[in-house]
Amino acid sequence: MSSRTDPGTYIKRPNRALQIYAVIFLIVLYVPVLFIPLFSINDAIHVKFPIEGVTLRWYGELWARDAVWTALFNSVKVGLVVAVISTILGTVAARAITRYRLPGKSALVTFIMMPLVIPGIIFGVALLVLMSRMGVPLSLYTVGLGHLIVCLPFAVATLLPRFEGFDPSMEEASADLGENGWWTFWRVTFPMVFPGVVASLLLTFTNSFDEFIMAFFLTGTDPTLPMYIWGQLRFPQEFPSVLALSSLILFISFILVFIAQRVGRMGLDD
Amino acid sequence: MTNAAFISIRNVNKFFGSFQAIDNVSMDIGQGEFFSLLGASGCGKTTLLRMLAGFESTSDGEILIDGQPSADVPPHHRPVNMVFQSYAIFPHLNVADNIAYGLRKQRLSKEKKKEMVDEMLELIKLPGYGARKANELSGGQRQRIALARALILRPKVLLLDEPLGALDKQLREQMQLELRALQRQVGITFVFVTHDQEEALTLSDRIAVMSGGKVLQVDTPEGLYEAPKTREVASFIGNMNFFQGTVRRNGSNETAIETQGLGNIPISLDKVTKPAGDHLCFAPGEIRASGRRAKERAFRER
Repeated sequence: MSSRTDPGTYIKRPNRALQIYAVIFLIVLYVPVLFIPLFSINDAIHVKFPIEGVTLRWYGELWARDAVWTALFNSVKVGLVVAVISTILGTVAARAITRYRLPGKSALVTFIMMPLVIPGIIFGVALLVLMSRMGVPLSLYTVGLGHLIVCLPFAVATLLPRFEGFDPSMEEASADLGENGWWTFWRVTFPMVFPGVVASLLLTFTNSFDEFIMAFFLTGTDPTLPMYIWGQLRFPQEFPSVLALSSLILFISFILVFIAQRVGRMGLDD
Repeated sequence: MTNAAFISIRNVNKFFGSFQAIDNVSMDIGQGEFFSLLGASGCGKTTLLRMLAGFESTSDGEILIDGQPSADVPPHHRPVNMVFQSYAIFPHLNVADNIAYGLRKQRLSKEKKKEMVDEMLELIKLPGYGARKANELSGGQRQRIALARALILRPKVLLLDEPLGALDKQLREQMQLELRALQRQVGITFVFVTHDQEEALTLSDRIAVMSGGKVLQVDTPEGLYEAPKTREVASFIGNMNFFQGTVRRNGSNETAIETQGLGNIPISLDKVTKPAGDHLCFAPGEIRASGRRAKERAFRER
């Protein structure tokens, strides 16, 4: 058979144009972002070329600032709670969507995924109005509520493929071998979707940790880290520290998402 | 061979919406019997098996297992275990943990558990495989482990949903023999679902031939082969030959079937299941051409 008609070769043949496109894509996506860590080690207040010398003093300054630590702990607190709650809700939702014959299932999935495409400002304003109508004071709790809305689609999107790639006869086999629903969940379902759960925890945490718009509308007196950064932008002399802080957030987010991607696919590829 | 009915299926119907998957099925399965449900895909055999396991409810009628009505008994309380078509080996557990899965409630000591698992591994001829991971197993090994996982609970009935369907021909034939030997050895009732008539004929004590949610005939392999009650059953069992013809009786014991292609075929009366039918079917090897007449016919046809 000639290589021209062999479907394997057809798919696997290297495509020069596609490779160039991929490289341009990545450059456009990431080069602007790379300026942030670059200028965060620049020994000057102003962001401009040429670089005037390499320093870590902006990082050192951050370390010494109490307000940064407070904001960081606020973000971590909200992030952890939001990650756990949205992953639990996401697990329940994904299981229900894949296991039961639900009327209007596809509509339900669409609605769950909707916050991904609805502008955050709309949800932010809506929640703000709701909270003030109900007389709920703005605090980290209201921020968490906002973050839950943005994080839930990520949790469901991460967990759904896990449940879809899951042979329903596994759970039936467990029932057949004498375990009720509760034990079946802990002995079979949960261990099998566990990589998805970890991935969902990491993704939702990162998402909440980095989130700005909801926090902008719903923060009370305790700022989250992005809110703190926003506040510092008013002071030009603080800008290098903001860049240093942003670099750290970028780095941590990248690591978490990378791990989440790896863990989330564990056992699905083979 | 069989004692009194161990599983009794009485006038069972099953509807999925307006689709009737099971149509008024009644039958008894004896203790220690190797019983097959045979039919093409979509005939309701798997639905019936899942009803025995408790994964599907009956819309109508009742199923007694060991004399007990089973309608309100959930799968995890039934004295039956199942070998799934996909085997459903738990991928996150090793072989020993898979086999011991159902023992949790019995609160056995570690040593006792290990002893039981080793005994099972011996039974399925995979000794020393306990520490293997689930993804390191071949299809045939998975099938045996699924068997061991069910048998370790000493069920009263073992349900098998096309357990040999995923294996290649050679392995399948080997497993058929082993399965039959295993059933003799453990002596429990096997209910076996298959679409492969050869497999059913080889393995079973009795077979229920199903089509369109109905049970067409329940009989021993010999009974089905030699005296199929309907054309549908006959066509499903073996490579039958069909001829259209009319039954003619000449005298008390002499019966002949007048066919288009073969002329008059004399046949003994006890072989004719339906004297009014208009089809003659016979298995290969059941008919012999007598030399003189064949010559005559050959001559005439020239």
